[in-house]
Amino acid sequence: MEMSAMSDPLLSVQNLKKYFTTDMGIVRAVDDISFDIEVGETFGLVGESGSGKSTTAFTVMGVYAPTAGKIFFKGREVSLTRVTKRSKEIKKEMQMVFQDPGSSLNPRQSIKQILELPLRVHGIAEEERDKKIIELLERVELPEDYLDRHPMEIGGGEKQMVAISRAMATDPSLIALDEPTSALDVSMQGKIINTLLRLQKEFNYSYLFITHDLSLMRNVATRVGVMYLGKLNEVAPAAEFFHKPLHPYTKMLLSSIPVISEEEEKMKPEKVVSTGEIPSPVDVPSGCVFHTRCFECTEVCIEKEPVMVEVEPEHFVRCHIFE
Amino acid sequence: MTEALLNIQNLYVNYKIFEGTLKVLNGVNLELGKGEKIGLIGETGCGKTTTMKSILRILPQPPAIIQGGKILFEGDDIFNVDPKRLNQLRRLDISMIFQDPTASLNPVFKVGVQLGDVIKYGALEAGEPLSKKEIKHRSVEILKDVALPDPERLLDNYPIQLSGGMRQRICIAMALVSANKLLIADEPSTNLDVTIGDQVLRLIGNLVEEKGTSVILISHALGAVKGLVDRVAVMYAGNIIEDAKKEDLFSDPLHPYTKGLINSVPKLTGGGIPEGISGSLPNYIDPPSGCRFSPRCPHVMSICRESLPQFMDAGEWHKVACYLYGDECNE
Repeated sequence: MEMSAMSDPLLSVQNLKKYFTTDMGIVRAVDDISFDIEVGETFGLVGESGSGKSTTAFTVMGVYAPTAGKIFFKGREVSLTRVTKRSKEIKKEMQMVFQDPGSSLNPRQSIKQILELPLRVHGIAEEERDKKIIELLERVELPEDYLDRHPMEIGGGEKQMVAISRAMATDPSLIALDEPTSALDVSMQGKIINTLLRLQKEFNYSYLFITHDLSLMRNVATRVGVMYLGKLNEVAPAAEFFHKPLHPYTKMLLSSIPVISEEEEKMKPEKVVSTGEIPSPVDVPSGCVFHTRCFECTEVCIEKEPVMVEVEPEHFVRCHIFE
Repeated sequence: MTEALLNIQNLYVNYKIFEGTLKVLNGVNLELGKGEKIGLIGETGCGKTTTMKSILRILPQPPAIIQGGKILFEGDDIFNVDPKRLNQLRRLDISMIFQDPTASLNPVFKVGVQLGDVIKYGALEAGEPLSKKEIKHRSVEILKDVALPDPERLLDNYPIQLSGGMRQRICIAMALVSANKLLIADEPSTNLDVTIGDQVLRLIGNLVEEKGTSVILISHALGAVKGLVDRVAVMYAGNIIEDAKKEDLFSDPLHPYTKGLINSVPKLTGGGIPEGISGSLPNYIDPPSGCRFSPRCPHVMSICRESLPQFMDAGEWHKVACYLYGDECNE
């Protein structure tokens, strides 16, 4: 493989496209995006709903087969195969936690059954399973007597903890977290995020973290990418992303966040008044997809699509201003 | 504060369900002046929406039972007004934006019909009936006010043909038609994206500014509340536990619950996320006696388990219901 240069990233996504055909036309949910995830890091994807964050995660995880592009995992290409054809070995390495624990846990199964399934599928011997299940519950600080309870009998935060421990059951190296706390109250959020970060340190997981909450993203991600209408517009290390945003869309996004304290207010870029609607993904604008809402739009933006350039080390922007 | 517009006094609401009686509202006290904008914050299930629905008298009864207390709107006792005045309140004075715009629009009627009805009956109530043409004209104007593109076409659409942000703006438009005195916005931006949510909140802010409408903004996005309101009330398990000017509340929260809540919001400046508040909301069938926050409170004292703390003044326009502050305030 040519791309295994110095240190292999854990996951490498190259020119990934995922289109859906609908009655209204072709939806370009993910349109030509590339990014890497290193071992032990948290790569965050932010963007508004319909920007393609979840589709990206689903395609990487193998729920969807990509329309075009390649996905490499530990240097092996895993993109051409459909999910049913991905080997168990790879599926074991990549797991996912969904947004709403209420619907991602089977209401008719006990917590024990829920946690047992991945172990059974991945061939853990029966006598070891019980021990492993208890250990999994301990990881997320849930008491042992939860084993016989059903999802309905425990709180929303606890349900998400079960979903997290289920994802960790197969000892994966990459976990996609699709808005893991957005269905929960703020007061629960801290506990879940801190548990995730603690387990990441302990087991060296890599996270693909998806959220629309930028304040939350600031506190979890090592690197952040921002998506808009299926395109990745800016990728930068977290501190740089928040302190020195370059793309007009990132500026608009950051300046729209409602914050509480004065320090945060100071950190925000100069107010960019957000205008316009997110265009329909079936009928994306020409040139740069953001030009309809951009406050720095010029003629070239309407005509030509910008390309991703590395403006500063590790800081990539896809905008004509920087070309 | 200016003249009181709304005064909720000791409101108790229960829900009777199969398992027993949920004692949800536990004596809510809240006052709102004319033209004042307040925020109501608290966890899901703490009784924010129940309180607001009581104001409009749209609580489903049963299962809800209003156990005690009263709500005064411009001096009228809302629970005892005659149907005519109630109609007037709903058509002209008070209106509510619900959290989920999908559920609050009727899927089988076109946007134009639903919006037209609100305008038509509002105008009728005000004694100035409008012709069909005028209603159409007003509808278009109102949709333009909420920054919706191509309003003529929208009137001919069904709600399902529109995006979430557009639907929510239509709900806002409908609410604003009949909110001359009080607008209740129940998590108007929760289901929307950051940039769209920001637009919607600014829109609400501008429109109420123009008309001088009072606002109650319910949200658990504390930042969103801060941008729009003058005063914030914090609710926990059926009680308002702190009520203060927003500057005071966010910079100097007093109640342990408020402190925990504000603390658990992740900061844009980074630095990790505090654990938040351990435990969860109490069971409403058998709520803890005394202060309902006592089982989760890090500063709990024996008196907290015995009786419910009442509001104490902890500064100009800063009220807190917590025994921690009792002695200082009495001195």
